[in-house]
Amino acid sequence: MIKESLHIFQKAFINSYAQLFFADSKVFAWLLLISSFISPTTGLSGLIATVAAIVFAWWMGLNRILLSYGTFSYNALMVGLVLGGHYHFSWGFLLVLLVGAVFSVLIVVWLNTVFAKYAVPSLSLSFLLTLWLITLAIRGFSNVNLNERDLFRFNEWYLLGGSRLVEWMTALDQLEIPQFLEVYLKSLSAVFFQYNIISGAIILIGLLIWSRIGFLLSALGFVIGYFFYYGLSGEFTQLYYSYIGFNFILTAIALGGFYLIPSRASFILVVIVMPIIGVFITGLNQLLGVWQLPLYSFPFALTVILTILLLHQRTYFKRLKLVPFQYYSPEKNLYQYTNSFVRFGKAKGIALRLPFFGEWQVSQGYDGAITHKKEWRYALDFVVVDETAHTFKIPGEIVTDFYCYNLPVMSPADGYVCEVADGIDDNGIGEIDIKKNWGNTLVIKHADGLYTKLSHLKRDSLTVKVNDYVKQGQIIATVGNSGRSPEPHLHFQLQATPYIGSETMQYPLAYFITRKEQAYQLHEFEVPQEGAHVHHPIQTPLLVNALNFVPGKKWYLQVSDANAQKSTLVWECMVDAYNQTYLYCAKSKACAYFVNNGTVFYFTTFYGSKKSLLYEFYIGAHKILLGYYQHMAVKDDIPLSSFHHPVLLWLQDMVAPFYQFMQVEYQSIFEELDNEYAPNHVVIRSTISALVAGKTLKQKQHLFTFANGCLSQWSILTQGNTLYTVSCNDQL
Amino acid sequence: MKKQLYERPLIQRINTGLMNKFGTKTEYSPVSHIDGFAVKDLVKEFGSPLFVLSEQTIRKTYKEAVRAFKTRYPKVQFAWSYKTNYINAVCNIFHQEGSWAEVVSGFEYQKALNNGVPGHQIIFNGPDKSDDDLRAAITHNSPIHIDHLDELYRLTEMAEEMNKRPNVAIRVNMDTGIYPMWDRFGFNYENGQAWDAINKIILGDRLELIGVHSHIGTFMLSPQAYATAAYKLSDLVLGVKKKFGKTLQYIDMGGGFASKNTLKGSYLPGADTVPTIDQFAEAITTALLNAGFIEKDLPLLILETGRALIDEAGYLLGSVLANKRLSDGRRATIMDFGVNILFTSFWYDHKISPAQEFSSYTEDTVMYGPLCMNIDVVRSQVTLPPLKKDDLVVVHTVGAYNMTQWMQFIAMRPAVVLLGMDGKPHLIRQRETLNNIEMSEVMPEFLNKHGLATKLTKVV
Repeated sequence: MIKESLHIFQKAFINSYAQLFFADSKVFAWLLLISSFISPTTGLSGLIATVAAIVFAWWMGLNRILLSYGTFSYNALMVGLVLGGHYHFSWGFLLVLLVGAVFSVLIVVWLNTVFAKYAVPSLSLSFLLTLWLITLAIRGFSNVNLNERDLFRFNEWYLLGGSRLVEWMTALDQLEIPQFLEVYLKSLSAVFFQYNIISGAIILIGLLIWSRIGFLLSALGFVIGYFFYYGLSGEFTQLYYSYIGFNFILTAIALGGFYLIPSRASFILVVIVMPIIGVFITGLNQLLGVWQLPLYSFPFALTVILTILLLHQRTYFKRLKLVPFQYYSPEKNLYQYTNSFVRFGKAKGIALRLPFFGEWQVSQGYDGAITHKKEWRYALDFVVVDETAHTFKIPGEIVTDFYCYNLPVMSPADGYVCEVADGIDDNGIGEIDIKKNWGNTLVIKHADGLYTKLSHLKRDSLTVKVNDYVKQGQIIATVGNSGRSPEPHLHFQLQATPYIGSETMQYPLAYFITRKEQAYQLHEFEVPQEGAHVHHPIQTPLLVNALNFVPGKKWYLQVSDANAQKSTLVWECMVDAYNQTYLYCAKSKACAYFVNNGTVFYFTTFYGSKKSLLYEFYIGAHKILLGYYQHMAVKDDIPLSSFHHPVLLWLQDMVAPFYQFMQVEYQSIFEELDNEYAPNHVVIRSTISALVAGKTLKQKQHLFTFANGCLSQWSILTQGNTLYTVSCNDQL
Repeated sequence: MKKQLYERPLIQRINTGLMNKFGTKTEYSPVSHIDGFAVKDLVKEFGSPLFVLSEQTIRKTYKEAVRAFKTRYPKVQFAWSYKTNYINAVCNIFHQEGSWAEVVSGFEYQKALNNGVPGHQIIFNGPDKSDDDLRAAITHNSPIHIDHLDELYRLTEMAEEMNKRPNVAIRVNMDTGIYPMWDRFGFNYENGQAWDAINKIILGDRLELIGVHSHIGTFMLSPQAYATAAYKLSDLVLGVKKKFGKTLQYIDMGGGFASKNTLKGSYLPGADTVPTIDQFAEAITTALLNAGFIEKDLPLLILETGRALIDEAGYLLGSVLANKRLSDGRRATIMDFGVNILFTSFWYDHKISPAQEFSSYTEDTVMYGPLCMNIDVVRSQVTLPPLKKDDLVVVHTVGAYNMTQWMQFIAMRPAVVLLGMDGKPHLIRQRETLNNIEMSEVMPEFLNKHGLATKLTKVV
């Protein structure tokens, strides 16, 4: 218990520092901590305030997870840093410091509660309110005095490190560096309420380690601010004299890569917003000057909050994507988003399947030329065709000559039958019934606002009635020729309302396979195109069973690496509070989240060391189709971070918002199979290729051998060398 | 100017007035071309009589059958019944289309192997499997369909001897409500023999039971019988799952679907009365889908359809040898093909079309074969226009069983030609010669000589 609390405390402390830059990087946080101690009293005061805020928040019982992110304490840190720089250390000051820390927590909670409604962050508003209050209040406290330490920094350094330190610091401060860079570094250091090159340089190193995009944005923000002042002939010295240059830097990082997915548009937004900060700075300075209150990060906070508020009010979302899940790194935000957009961007909550057996053809797709028009444009018509593209056998004069007539129709997903029309006779071939144009029809409710409608069914073939619960794949009727149907076909549409005749809506099918000649292709969450030959993916029992990891199931792996070193690993399938399944490796403490939906096995996320074997498995078995198709490659996108090449990755990071010249491609393909229907031996080869500007730079292959009902052998190869050979067993 | 057609004169009673059950006139039309190939040219090139198979029809029929089942059931596999027609070219068309092989003897098994069919895709049926046959099937992992307990015992012994676990299924016979009930193949469902065999296999733990099989009859005219069979077989599979927790891989419904031939004694022609493949498919798949399987455990449906897949693709071309008048006044036509090569004429009234133009006048004729045997009757009564010597006829729907049940008796067996989809006729089996017949004969030394020839020379 104590250990756990201590752990939370540690995290909260270190994150309070990183939070000032929206980061969660430990290295960055430590560097920031060190840089704050360039002026030791400032650093110490910041530290005390942070600890005080954390202890208070913890003791009050605030949310431990938010606490550990530093949410309640980073404002206190800022309060501490500012106060420490301005006042003499005394008991009176310490008291004010502690009061300030506690007060900032109160304000944070208040602001967060109020702002949550608008889904905007409170940023450093709590710090500002606290500081302004204390600044005003302190004028009445005679025991707390302003210090002039900043004016006599040499004295302080002399006390700490003697004449040598003073010489060092003087030399460093007087380094001949371009004014532009000097101001940039000082502005960086101003985030921590200092203005010297050394702490600026330390922060810069930390910033680069944490995020290249973050660095790029900081530079962009600064440059615009710099030239804005030049352009308006503003008082440029303000820029660092009042510490306010960092407003540009922080706003650029916040909007360019933290709250928004870094992209060309987010950079443009930064360019647009920067001048507003300039106006804020000058204007608000005049206003606050009345009470002699400092501006600090006020322009930044206002600008970011207003911009995010505006982004939430949009109705058109083509550009400027808000970060859906915060990874505290512009790179991670970007790559995860791109990856999950490519992988699951089209995924929908309810997985629909094709409502029939075998291969059919889409005779009329969305916006079809015959009847799929206006409100009913998002519908699909299906027929069965022969190899000569005919839908009937000679002579084709009666409904039974048509291949699809009387074929079973099944429910595309689980749901309740909510409307039924039956009793309408089949038309003769070429005739249509425009009075009862939908013919015999079933409407099934899968969720609120999600209904499927199946029409032109055969009279009296409907096996369900209103309010019946139907399972996905359950046969509910057969194909007929009723309604506005000149020849037997199945009409399939999605709609938001439960009526026969409702307006159609776009909605993809979860998985289906298309065939062109003899080439098959898997489609995920797509709408089949007109003319496509489609069928529901087949299942190969061995794969379905072998990759069906039930929570509690253990896997024993005998690993032999390239040097024939042997080791044993145990993986266990677990399930978390959200019913998500994952594989857990006790040795490396890594988790790999996966999904097995009976059609495809795929991994979603990974937590833990990328050196672990589980990570290799996560990459190697990224997506495996559970049914055998010869020569059909299943492709997927893999996060760039799986690519171990620091220099190239840094380069890629720098340009990532604009252009991705590196890709990691994944594909898996069936290599061997001993029996199409009930195989006892299946080999799947997956290939991971790292591409730089379209050229393969590195390639890794995984061979998975399934036998005796489970994954029995797994080897990892690269450039013809075997990296690992793993024999797996589900028993010891 | 085109030469006028000459037909010998006929005396015919004129049917006037209302339509009667004999119809107004023949609806026969000449079949001068098959798939665009002229019958005349084929006979000229390959001789008469001649069996002709249409590649296009084989593939089309197969695809239609597969489509009928696959649009009704998720897992379907056809296995080509070798005994129906085991000319390798024919088998390979089916294998190209994705069909497995179903064999009932050692030599058929070997044929399938030679055709490159992987062992696990050759289903070994039939009551007669020698130790060598079984050994080959075990070695190649083929599903062996056990017909009787003696075979089960022998197989168990061999499994021990070879230290292998053969894949087996049991053949099951049952009452499907049709007459005659076939009960000679496999183990009976109703009296518990089937369960007895299943228990022996699973508890014996030497053989791997992977499926159940039935073959309820031949030329079945009732799809409902298949539904009953499918239901009873499902019951066994579900029972095995319940009793032993074992999921069987497949249900094999055997063959027996009728082709469009007309059985002797039928009132209406086969084309009108025989159920379509869709009707069979619907009966079987509906029974399986409603039997109570969970989706994951739905067994693979195997079909050993033979006749219905090839009968219509086969034609027999022949020529008229002579016309004569029988004692009772009936006309008789003697053809150059008889029951020796058209074995199925024993039970079908094959449709026969002349291959050249004719007028609308027809006459009832007895159609005889060329054999010097009284039973050699191809059609005891057929309505045909007057045919002259050397006129050609086309016998329809002969693709099944004839090219395997034919016999070399009195005459040689004819050539078989495949009308390819590439527009060329391909000879797939040569006309037999004396050499074919004598190559298996062995002459004992003491019979090598006789004196007939010497005596003759002396007389001369």
